[in-house]
Amino acid sequence: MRESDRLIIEDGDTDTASIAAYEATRRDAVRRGLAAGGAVIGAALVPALLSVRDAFAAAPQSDAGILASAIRLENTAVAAYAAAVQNGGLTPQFRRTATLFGRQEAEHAAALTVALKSLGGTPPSGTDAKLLAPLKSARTQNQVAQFAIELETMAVAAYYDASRRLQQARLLQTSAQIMSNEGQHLVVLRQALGKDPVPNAYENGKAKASK
Amino acid sequence: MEFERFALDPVSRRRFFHAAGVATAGGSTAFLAACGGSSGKAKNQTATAADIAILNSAIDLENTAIAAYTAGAPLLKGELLKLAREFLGQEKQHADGLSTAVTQLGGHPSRPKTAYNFPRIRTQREVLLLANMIEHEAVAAYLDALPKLSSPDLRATVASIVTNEAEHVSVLLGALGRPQVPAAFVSGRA
Repeated sequence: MRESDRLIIEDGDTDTASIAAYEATRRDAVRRGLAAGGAVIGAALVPALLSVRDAFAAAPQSDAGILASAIRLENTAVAAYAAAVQNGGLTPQFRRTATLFGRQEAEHAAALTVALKSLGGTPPSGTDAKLLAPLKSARTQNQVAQFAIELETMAVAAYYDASRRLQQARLLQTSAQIMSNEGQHLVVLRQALGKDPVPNAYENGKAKASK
Repeated sequence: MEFERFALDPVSRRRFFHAAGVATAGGSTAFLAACGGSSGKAKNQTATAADIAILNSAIDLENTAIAAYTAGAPLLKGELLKLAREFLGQEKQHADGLSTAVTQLGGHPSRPKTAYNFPRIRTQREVLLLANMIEHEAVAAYLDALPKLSSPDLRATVASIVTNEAEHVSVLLGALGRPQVPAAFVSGRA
């Protein structure tokens, strides 16, 4: 490539003040605009959300214990997306998205199951019925999307906690790869609701999901 | 079209990141520093030195992304410009946070280069391709670094940053008309 085809950016020409002002304005607008949007189903999910955000923390302090908790959460996500696609209020595009996300959650569960078995553990079966319960009251696509955002945010929070506690290098990387995928699910779901797709510089699932 | 050739050529990409001071995933001296075999205090010092080296490589990547979004912003419009500004602000938060961590470990945070030698970008699409290339590299580098960090808190911080970078990738892929969530396991490999 010729030198003339390159663009040299000198250091220090980023206008940080204008970025900060823009950020404050945008975040305030987003906060005001979304206060009503996901309130109904969001409120119904709060107790379950709080319990599951600590799901991995309650797991035994071993890689196998964390994996078992993660598998159960992934199984719950698979069931959630399977139930969601049955909702008659979804557009064909959103149904395809939910189907894809459910398939990817199943891939996570399968990989984690292999990892747990390699450690000599027994994978758990079943799902968390309490977590899935609010989905039954979701009538519209927006409500389904809001439910999915809450669920994906829980998953991000759980893997964030796991990244602090897992010991094996390979499991740490797998956990972060899955956490990143759940973050990408959040992007698509937030966009479907007209929300800011990437509101958190540090995506750890600790911020309010309905932000 | 010339930029697209650059973005698809692994040798050109490697040279670009090397020139930006970025020790990319896969075996730089900095990343290998954690492998020394010793014990006790010496081992802790080695681990801290390795953490500092890894974090400084990450700061170099963040500064490269900051320069790229700064360079590309004038070619963007509307919603994409807003998003690029937001991503720029988030990369700066990462660079600041990582710099604080380096300082707390007793090291000297890596500083931005005086200049970044980007390929010439002429269109909005080329800005998106450049950002997508850098964000992918960041995801791969953070995933490589994660298990090499000695501190659980640093590992958690890196996990939250790599997830944010993966989210940027998802937005950029969508803007480029590509599938936004192409794989169940994000790897940073395009």
